[in-house]
Amino acid sequence: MAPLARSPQAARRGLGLLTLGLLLLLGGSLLLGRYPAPGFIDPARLWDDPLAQQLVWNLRLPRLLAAAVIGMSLAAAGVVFQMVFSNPLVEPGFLGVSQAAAFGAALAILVLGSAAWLVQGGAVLFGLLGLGASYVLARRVRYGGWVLRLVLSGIAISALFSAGVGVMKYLADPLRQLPEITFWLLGGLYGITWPRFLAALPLLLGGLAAMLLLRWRLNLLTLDEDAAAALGAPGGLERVVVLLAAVAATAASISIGGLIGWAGLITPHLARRLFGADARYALPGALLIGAIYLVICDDLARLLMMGEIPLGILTSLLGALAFLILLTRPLLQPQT
Amino acid sequence: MTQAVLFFDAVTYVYPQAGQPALDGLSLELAPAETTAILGPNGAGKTTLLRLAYGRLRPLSGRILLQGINLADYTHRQIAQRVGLVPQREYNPFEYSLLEYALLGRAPHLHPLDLPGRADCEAAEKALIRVGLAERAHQSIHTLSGGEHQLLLIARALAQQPDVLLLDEPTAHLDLANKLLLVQQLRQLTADGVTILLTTHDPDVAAALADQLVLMRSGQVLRAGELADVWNDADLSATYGIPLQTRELNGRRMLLWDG
Repeated sequence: MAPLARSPQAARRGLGLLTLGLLLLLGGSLLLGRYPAPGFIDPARLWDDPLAQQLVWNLRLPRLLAAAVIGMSLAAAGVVFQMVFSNPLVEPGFLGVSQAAAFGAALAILVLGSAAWLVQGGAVLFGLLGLGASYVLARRVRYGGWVLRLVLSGIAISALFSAGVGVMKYLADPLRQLPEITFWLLGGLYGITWPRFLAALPLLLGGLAAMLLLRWRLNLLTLDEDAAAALGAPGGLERVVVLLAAVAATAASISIGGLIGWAGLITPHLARRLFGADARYALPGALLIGAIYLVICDDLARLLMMGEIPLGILTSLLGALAFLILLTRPLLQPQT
Repeated sequence: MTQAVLFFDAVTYVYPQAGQPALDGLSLELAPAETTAILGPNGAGKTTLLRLAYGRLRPLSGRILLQGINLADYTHRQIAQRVGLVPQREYNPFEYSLLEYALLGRAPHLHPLDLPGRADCEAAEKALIRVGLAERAHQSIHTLSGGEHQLLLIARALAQQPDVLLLDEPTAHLDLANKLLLVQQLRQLTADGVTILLTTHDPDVAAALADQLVLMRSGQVLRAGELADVWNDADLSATYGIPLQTRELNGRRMLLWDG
């Protein structure tokens, strides 16, 4: 199916429109909440109500920015995973990265205390480990095509790490540590503060920047290894660099937002529908769409009901529904 | 004598965990702007030879010279600036446009952080024109038939602007009309100075294109030389291990087999 943007000019216009949309959404969401009453706050109030000021600048703003950057990271990681594994139906959650990162975060909380950099470090380290384990296992499976083997291995590794998370929960101090671990598993941005957000920002932005800089080369990685090597990009290094960037961004997201499932799967599809398969435009497109998607989901999470709905539940629900639609569409049938 | 563009000097290669060498002390020379066709049964080592020629595999012993310099002294990028590959078959799950796909051939000429520019797009467009796919430049690669996809892979390699073009069974999926188109394209390329090395199971194609014909069996060259010298009943029969007869009709060489 031809993308909507048929020329580089159209693609650039599309990216511009999405950026504008994201900015308007962020502005609107900043004023949206349950104080003083559900709905938009009167901007005039921000001048003389100290509580409103406090709320908007110290709670809503870091949370919204975190939602946007996490949405970008998960979408970008989704694009990278799909391209590197040459399979439009994977995302970090499928290949053991998310569960392993959550395990790493839980382990850090349990053993090392909950300093932000330790939790992040644990998440990144185990995220990489999970990906590596899925990959190695997939190479050793003697059954089915590459795509099937990858997905099966990812399921096995995810199950292993979620069992590990179960052990962590069992061992955790039910008053101090268990709530924190449970937060990771459900996902949510209500705990975001400026220091927390800023602590994760370097890793998030670093990962995003690396993926964006290499966005055209990503296309080469969708080719099989012989063809890519013949174009001067022999497997190894470049794949490792972009995967590292994707895992770093994913794990940093998980370390401040918990497990936000399925956000990395649909956004790349939407971006490709709008901008075509070339990651030159599809990757920035996915970034913007991912940010918009997550900000909207987070708005719903905090407004839909009196208490918060955990964000991970919302994204998983919407994501799984979209995945079902994708699976049954003839054009997107995965081929092994 | 002019210097060989690509020179295999007693090259041996053994795949890990394989007992038999895939290539066994093979020597071969490609003269500039000539076409070399390799004929041989399955498992003769034809594809291994190509994989060595673009640095995907390194010889276990012997050496390969590209334009007089050992291939091992080039980076992958430098090799790719000089040697292009047309794989036998390739599947990509993403719906690239033909132009985007052909543009990937520009990769070896671009710094890893660069985006392709106007000149690169023009090279890709030119390559599509050459293989007759320019009008469909903005369609998805999934709309192509098997033969058209083969032509697209050739366009990608042409966008690479290589000195040496390697083709792995280029006519395997082509119907007769596309086969003719391919043969004409490859003739035009050698006229433009490109050196071509192709493997094929199609003796007609080898006979139509080759300046040099190489007969391979079990990782070794049985016979190599000018087409007219190598194209004979005895050598071709020995290559495939079955009785074969060469015929000539209206100046065209053909190979007959019992059946």
